[in-house]
Amino acid sequence: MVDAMNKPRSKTVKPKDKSNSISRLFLNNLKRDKLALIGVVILVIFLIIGVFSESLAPYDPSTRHYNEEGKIRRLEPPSKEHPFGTTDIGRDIFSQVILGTRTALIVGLLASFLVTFIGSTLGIISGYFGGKVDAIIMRIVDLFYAIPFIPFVIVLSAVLSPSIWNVILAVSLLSWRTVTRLVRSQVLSVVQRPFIKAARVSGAGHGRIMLKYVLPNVIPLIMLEMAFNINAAIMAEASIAFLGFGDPTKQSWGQILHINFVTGNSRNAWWWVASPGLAIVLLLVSVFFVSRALEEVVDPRLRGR
Amino acid sequence: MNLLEVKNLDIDYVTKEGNLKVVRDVSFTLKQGESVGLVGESGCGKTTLAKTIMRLLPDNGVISGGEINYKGENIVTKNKEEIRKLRLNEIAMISQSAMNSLNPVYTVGEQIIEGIRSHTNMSKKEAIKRAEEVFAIIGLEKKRLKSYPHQMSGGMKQRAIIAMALSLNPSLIIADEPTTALDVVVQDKILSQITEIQKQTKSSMIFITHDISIISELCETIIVMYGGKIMEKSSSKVFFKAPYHPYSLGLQNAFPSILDIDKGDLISIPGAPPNLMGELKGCRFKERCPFRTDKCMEELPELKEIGEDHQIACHYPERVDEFREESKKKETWQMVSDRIINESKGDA
Amino acid sequence: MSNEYLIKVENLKKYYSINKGLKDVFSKEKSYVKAIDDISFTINKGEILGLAGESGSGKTTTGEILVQLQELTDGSVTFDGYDFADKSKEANRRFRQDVQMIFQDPYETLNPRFTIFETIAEPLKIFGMKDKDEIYEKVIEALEIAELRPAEQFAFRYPHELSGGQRQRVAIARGIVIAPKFIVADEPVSMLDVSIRADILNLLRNLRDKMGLTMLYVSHDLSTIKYLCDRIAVMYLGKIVEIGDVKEVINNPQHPYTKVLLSSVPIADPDYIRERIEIDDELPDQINLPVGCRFEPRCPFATDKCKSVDHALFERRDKQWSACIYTDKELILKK
Repeated sequence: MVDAMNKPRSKTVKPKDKSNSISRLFLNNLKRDKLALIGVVILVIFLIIGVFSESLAPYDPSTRHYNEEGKIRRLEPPSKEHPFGTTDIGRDIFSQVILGTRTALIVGLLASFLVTFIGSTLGIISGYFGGKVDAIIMRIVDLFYAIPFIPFVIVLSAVLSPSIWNVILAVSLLSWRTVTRLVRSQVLSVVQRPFIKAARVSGAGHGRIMLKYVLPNVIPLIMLEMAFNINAAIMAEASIAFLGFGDPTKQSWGQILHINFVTGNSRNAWWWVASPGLAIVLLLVSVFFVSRALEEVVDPRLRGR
Repeated sequence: MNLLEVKNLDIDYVTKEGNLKVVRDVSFTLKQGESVGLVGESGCGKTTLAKTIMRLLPDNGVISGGEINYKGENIVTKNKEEIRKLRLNEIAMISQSAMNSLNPVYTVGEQIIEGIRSHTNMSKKEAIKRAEEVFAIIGLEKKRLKSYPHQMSGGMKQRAIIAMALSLNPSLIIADEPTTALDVVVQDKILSQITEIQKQTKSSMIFITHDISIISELCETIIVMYGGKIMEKSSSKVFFKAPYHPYSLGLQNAFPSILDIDKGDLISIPGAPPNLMGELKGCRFKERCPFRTDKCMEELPELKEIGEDHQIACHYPERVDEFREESKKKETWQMVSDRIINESKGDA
Repeated sequence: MSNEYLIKVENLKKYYSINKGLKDVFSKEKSYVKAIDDISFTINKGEILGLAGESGSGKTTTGEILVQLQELTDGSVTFDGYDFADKSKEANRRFRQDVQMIFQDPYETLNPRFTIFETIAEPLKIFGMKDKDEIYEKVIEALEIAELRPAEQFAFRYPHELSGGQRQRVAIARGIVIAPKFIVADEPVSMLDVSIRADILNLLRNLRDKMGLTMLYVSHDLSTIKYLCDRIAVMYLGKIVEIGDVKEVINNPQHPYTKVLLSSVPIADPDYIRERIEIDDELPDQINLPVGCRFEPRCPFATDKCKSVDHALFERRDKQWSACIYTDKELILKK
């Protein structure tokens, strides 16, 4: 009965009409899902702030500010000059949060890109070849599952110098395992489909089949994983910086919280805690909304009728 | 009295793009002990019709008109509880993929006994006895009651499902392609067992398939559906000797036979079934019919009596001799194929 | 038709090991599923051979070995003078160009993310065709041969916009675009609606008649085999039990299994009374196959002698070979 809907639809189909493309479905979804729309708007604002943070930040984040009497503006609550208040040594928190945005975004985007790149490459290879190749890769994945995240990152940044690049490296080194597993399991089912056999009969080599036949059919999943990993990476960076293993030369939200904590001001300067905290939450929530909408596109069962 | 009476039934599927008119104005009756075969291509509405009689339509399926009278009571207006009682006790369905509906963590016996007990007030002992009986009829050993689904072959599982469906002596059996997934030898045996049981218990049967040769062996009456409508309804004996409707004539050409009658090259019916969305004008078969006229484009033919128990939905029953003659020729259908290509060019 | 063969299969075997667990590494005895167990046949140039059998008979595996989708376990296959054992690049390239396959499920056989054009152009690109106009011409030509008209309109659609029959035609167009010599068609019409099956069968036949293609047509449906093929081989549990001219085998089956198969096909004629041969419809365990004739446990004519035979083929009628040790006359007497 539903077959009738699968029959050729209209006869006037423009060449190159990808009516089931991900981006198109995603855009349609935005029209219905208001939360996703809010997510996209907030994310775009964060991106703009991240790109133009230097010109948007009113002050240098490490400049000490003094009042008319020449005294350091210590722990001042939000005001016109300092919308997010000041730190214990009179630094402008607003500027720090603005500049921290870039760090969060760089870590989030770059790490999640690396993670999904490594993860899906290995996942596709593992699922496509199966057998020994699969067994070896999956045992390595198991091995990596045994490594606890935070201690590993602490050790890594202790051995190497603390910098956001090492944070990215640490996140990438550990998070690919999940992506590999997920991509592999989907590849296993894609490889069973007859069009893969048909490609082999047509003479396509392994590389060509993986790139042109397997990859496009797992791309939606990969994109979804990428979105989820952005959040994981941002959170990881914030935690590491909060614990004091971050890059001291780079402004970051975790770092702001770290300094607040070590100077013992976490209980008496709410603005100092709230502003980076809220920034983290807002960014995570917006990415979450976007990835949730993406998930609906990827998984037809979640699609509204 | 008729066991089942379907009157002017309309069924729609509600989709985002609009209503899909899956079944339109379908009427037929079924006597006690009669078996009727329903044939048609995928999308012709035959499975939907069966599901509707069981009231098993998916959420977006709507009965938008007509009646289904079972033993004089309208099924369409019954509530869920009344329907539940009707299923299995009165009407049983065997579907194509039914063998996959067995629960893997229970033995087949447990599932059948559970089914029997939830519909009757039999004791466990009586239920086991009944299960053993139906297993014997369908050709399964008693010990198979203790098997789990994965320990059985496809044929055995399908048999177990049939046993379950027949365990309460239903008056009406609806079989929707019950053997399509099975090998010929198994299919043949199961089909003969089903008819055996149906004759013994004097129950009626609606048999749905795309394979008209099965109907010729199994059913007294055949109903040919196309695009949600009945095209031809006749006794099997008459139909297989002398079909009337152009669609039936086309189907006859398309069937390869194992017998050594050289009926020449097979000929397909060019084109595809109609899109049932939006406004539908004229005869449903008009796109693929070699004999269509302007009238067919505009006016929907009614189902007309043309002989004893023989109805067709075509404007031109009197031209049947000409149709039969012409439909045997390849050129007749080639013309349809060219016409379809020209029309699609016009649209682009 | 010349009697030159294009494909020669000799003593072909395909075993699947079922010892996969760790504990089995230490056990000496290995168990196998013998999907194909010592079969030999040839396919002549320009001939369509039908391979019939139920599920588990090994017919699909045979087809996949002939297009090298699966490796053979033992035996030899020669294709157009080339041995399958020849793994050189040159042999492989030539083979891929000469052999194509058409699959059963028209909904799954096309990459959903390729347009029809991209799908059919794939083999051309793989074999190094670069010129865009030439590719376009070839693709359109293949679509025309597969009777998807107007070809220019179909070329830029996606598979989900086509019906099952149209998709199967695209698969055929992809199969013929590089002008192969041999095609394996695995149940190409079994998932299509009856009203359009004939078209696909006629198309396959035309490919043979006009392009001189040789074909292996794998199917469980004896009536389509009878319609399309020149010869038929009937398989049962990895063995060929009967092989010969299609009309002869279907009208005068020699092997009891072929008789059973034929007697199970429903006939679209209410007056025809079919003689059913009653047998047990469950296949024996595929790992512990019966010793002697594989059909013996189910065969209505079996005797003690059948428990120690080896499936050698006997020429019972002209060019019609049966693996049964009894002649047709002897079988009739038994009844």
